[in-house]
Amino acid sequence: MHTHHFHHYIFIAASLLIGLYFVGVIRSNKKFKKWQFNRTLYWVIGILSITIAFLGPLQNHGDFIMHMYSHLLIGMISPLFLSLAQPLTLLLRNLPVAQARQITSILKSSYFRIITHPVVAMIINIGGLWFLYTSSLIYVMHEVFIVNIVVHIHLFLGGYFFTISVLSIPPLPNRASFRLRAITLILFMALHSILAKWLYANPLFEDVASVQKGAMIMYYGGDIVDVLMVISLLYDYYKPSKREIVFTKKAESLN
Amino acid sequence: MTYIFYKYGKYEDEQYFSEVFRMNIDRLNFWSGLFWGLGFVAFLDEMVFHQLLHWHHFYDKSTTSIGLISDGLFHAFSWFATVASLFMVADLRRKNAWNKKRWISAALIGAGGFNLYDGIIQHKIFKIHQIRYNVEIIYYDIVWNGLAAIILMIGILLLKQSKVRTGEI
Repeated sequence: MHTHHFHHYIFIAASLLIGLYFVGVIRSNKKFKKWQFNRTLYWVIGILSITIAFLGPLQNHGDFIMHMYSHLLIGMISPLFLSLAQPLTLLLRNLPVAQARQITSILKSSYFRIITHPVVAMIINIGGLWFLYTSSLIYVMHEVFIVNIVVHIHLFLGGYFFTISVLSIPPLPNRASFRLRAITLILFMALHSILAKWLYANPLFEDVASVQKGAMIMYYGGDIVDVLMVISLLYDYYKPSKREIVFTKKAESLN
Repeated sequence: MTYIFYKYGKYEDEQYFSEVFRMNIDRLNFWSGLFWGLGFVAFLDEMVFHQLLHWHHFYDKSTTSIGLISDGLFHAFSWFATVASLFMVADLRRKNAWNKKRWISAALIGAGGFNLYDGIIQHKIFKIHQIRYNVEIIYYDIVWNGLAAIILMIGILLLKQSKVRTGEI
């Protein structure tokens, strides 16, 4: 069975990704300011959550509750933690100049700028989700393995680009205003909970009870991840700024 | 071997909340109180009436689509507002500028205002869900909206009494 091998590949990929990150942190610490421990922790949490999602429920086609848990893990929890881990910043620190420049030029390309605009990223993310549940794609997904994989990759990348653009996580070349990012996040949260209630009211499968349970998991689970996103968005503006320290020093020298 | 350090400018345009929200201290006190009151009541509503008493329903078959949209937007906004209000309070406290009376009165206005909106617009006009099912609903509606109006009035009266600090951000 190819699904059996699929398990192995996922497991190997996860171990490699965690290992590479550790190597990157050790190498980076020799040259630059110490890499924050939090970020390493976020990376491990992010990789573990996506591994759990891929190892289990992809096999259980019929179970909508498991399907929803895995969607929360792939589309929201792991993108949030993986983007907070700043793997791209770590990569840039570890690469020689020429390759690092190539990557930054990709980040600065107009394509990347467009898809990391908060509003575009939100539409790609939540629009894809609405399309999945309001069209017949969900049934096709359960029949065709490759469609299943593509949908899940889209789900993850949509969540990842949405998170880095709304939280403006480095190394992102352009930073949208706080107001725009806050409104985008609120709209995303609203569209996510509306979709969950819509799903509750219009069950896709015959097993109405499990679809409704799944819809509630989407609603409340989404809420929890959303709060984490709001906290990290606002914390950026709360932590003491360098400018404030400069001002205090100036004031002290005046006295 | 040479390395480049990618400069992302995250710390260059950092701002405090008074600047981010373009508010002076009085407004910051007022809006953080209002946001907190609104968010706290929305949270209490969810916990008490949805989860503990099971009076409210997650979804009611008579819900209109505009009701669903209004509910979604309000739900999202109240989550954001609750977190934002707590950050604003922390910011005010470290500046030693937390005006508790103004904050509490604004919180009462937020709480009363939200419940009045919930009780009249969301329950009655948009019919998202009712307070309770299989009962004479009118008494519940009167108590709900009456309480909300009283809380709102107390908030407004207290706000008028609260001293306004003017001046520095």
